[in-house]
Amino acid sequence: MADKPKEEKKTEEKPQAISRRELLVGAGTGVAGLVIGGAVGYGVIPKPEVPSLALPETWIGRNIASCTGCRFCQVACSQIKEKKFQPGIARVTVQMYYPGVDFPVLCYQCGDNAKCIEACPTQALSINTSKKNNTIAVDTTKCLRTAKNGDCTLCLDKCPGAAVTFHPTTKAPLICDLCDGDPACTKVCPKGTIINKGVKMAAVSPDQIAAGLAEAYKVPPPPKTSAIPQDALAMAADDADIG
Amino acid sequence: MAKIPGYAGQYLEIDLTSKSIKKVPLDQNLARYYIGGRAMGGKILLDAYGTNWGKVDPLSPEALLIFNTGPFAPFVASRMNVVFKSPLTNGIVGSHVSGDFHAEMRFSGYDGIIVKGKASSPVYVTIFDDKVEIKDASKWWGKETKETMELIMNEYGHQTSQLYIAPGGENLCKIACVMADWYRAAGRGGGGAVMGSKNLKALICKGNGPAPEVADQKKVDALTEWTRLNSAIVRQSTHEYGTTAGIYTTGNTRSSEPVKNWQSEWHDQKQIQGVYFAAEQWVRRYWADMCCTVACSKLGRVKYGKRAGQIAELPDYEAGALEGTNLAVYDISDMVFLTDLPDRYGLDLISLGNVVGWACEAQEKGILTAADLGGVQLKWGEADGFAKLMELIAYRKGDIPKLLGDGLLATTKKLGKGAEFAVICKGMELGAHGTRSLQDKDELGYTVSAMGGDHVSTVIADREDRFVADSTGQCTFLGLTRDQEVEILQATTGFGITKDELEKQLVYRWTTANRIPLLLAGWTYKDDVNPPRFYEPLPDGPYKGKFTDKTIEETKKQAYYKSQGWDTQGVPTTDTLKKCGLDAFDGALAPLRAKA
Repeated sequence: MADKPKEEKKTEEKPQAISRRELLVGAGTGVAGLVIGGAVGYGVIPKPEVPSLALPETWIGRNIASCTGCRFCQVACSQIKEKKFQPGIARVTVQMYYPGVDFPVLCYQCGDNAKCIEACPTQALSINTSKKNNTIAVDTTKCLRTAKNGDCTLCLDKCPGAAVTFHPTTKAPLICDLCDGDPACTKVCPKGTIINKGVKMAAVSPDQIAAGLAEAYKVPPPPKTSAIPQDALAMAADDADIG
Repeated sequence: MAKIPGYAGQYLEIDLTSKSIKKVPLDQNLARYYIGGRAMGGKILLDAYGTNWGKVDPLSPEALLIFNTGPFAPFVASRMNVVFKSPLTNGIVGSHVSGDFHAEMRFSGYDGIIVKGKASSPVYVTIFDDKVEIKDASKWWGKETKETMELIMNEYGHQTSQLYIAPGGENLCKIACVMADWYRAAGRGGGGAVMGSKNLKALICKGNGPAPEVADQKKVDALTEWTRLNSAIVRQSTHEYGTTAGIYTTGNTRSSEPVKNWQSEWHDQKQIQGVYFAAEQWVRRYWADMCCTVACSKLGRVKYGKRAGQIAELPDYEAGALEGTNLAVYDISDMVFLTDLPDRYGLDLISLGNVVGWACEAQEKGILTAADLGGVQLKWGEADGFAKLMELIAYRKGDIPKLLGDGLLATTKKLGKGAEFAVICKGMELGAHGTRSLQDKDELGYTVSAMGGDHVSTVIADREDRFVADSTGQCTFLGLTRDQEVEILQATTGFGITKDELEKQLVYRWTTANRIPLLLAGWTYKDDVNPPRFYEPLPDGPYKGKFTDKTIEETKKQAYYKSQGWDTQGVPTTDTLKKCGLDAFDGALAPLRAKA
């Protein structure tokens, strides 16, 4: 029996939106860069937090402004993990939290203080210290879903970034393990949205992302300009698409 | 269930009257000879209605509504077709649409969905892998597009893909479309009305299973990879500008873009060049569906002026032409505003733009008054008036707006006036590509194609080539060569179909299969014509004075009939029917044939 797609956690109070400043990491293009659609960096400047003792060496940066929604990251993940073309088992999921804007969601590598570890009633989740990136490991002999065919979803429920998915057939929680330092998704992303570098970010919830994007799209427009690059005009004139 | 490489191997058959849901195995023969999408959907319709085709009411419970894709999906950027007997053309229409529904459908384990019957009250259907349910949609009925999407996401999260209707389809406007996800639509032919007539508000799907097994996985993976690395380069212009740049160039260079209800097809409105859309409006530059790197879709937000804050997709070429230049609206901001309305109401923006453009000319000529249009006196270039009329049409307020919502054929027939400036072909309003300058479509294109005024499936020389894309499930903006397409077809299905067989036998068969319903619906060779306006000379631009030449049209047409094995009146011969495995229709077609 298939699970319903995972449900969004509903926050009680109005979500604390990430500020616009936090959404943009200095790539020098500033606010205008976001609305014109250029890539503006590889993460969100996190609020200062007690750093985890187990920071990963590898970090998958995610650029909010440039995700196209192609989901090649999901395909690559499923291919590397199970040799299948099956986005449904990917550890990264592309979600449209704001109308018309996609965003890749995957484990934020919270480290020792990870809420998912804390939440698991059977201590099935832990930091895998044998792997250099200290990612979350799932012990399927302890997980209620796999060991007892249960329907526990506490790791997802408590994850501040809603970044856990569940395998459709084995039911196991799927949490990004950074492919042992060589993340497959970063090799296929066509727009540099998912990339193997950047500043580690704190987990952000779906509601925060939606609110942040809503804020970002309220940015005042750049000054109206007639200075259009000549090669852009030339390219557009080439257009012979039947649309 | 026998595995057919390239296919999930089963269909969902949903009867909304009895609320029954069946999983039906895919017929291997049907897959082999009709591949998928529009061709296969059309064959299912043809088999179901048979020689009784002419009598089936497209908006009745017995009508079928088919959602179908092909073996290319989801391995490369792909599409699906919504296939039905069209309330506009009364022939087969397979309107293509992107979004991810067909990918999710395949991951759920289905190649397609066939809906028949009519629910006793509004319902929606959920498809989550093997769990399929019919649910009450009474709280969703009446909601426009954005509200509907929000309701779906509130209920099911942000990963589902959906097909749904909005007031246009709920109110049975024959120009209503089926919406997909945000801003995508299966626009043409009135599929929204068919869906509305079944009280079906939405289909929602999320599939967590694997894509279907294919004949040669390594080959398919290599071809997927090729598209990932190369499609955006091969189609760089589309990647950067979508089809938006055409809003200027099709008018200015090709002189084939509708202006003022096609009175002209040329303009020089430099402020609507693609680069200005990009600079002044787009907030999201590259938006793709599953496994697509061309990302031709863009999200626009009006930044300046009266319409500031308005968000709409792109607008793409058709929208900018039909809701822009066709109405002499040359302000980018106004174009975005008008483009958003058909999306919101669930109306086909191509048909709607033609309809309101016609209405403006009708008022100019005194055929319609302001009172006829709820007090609106339309003026070329004034967006607000057209916006008001669009709302009246969607909500069927007033006799004339109600009529307009059924398209220009119904309107001009009922009024007994205005047919000479209705730009339609076999009841389908034309896409924004004229024939007079000969820089775009030619004399033949629309006259003999299976979907009338649909601009993507026009006939070129001896073939309605669009059948290929519409049946393999691919998106033509991938930039694949025909040889590559054949490679993918071979690698997925393992059917061993060569380029020759595909182009010369399969397309040939599908063309005749789609011709039959048009004839049974009552169209004849006399209807294989261009809209009357296209025989009038262009009034301005670099091709001033040019018009569609009837003699050339007739010559090309007879050549086409011959190439398809049809007689001089465009009726398939007995021999052709036999070759196509469609002999069952010989008797019904006999009286229509040219006398010896």
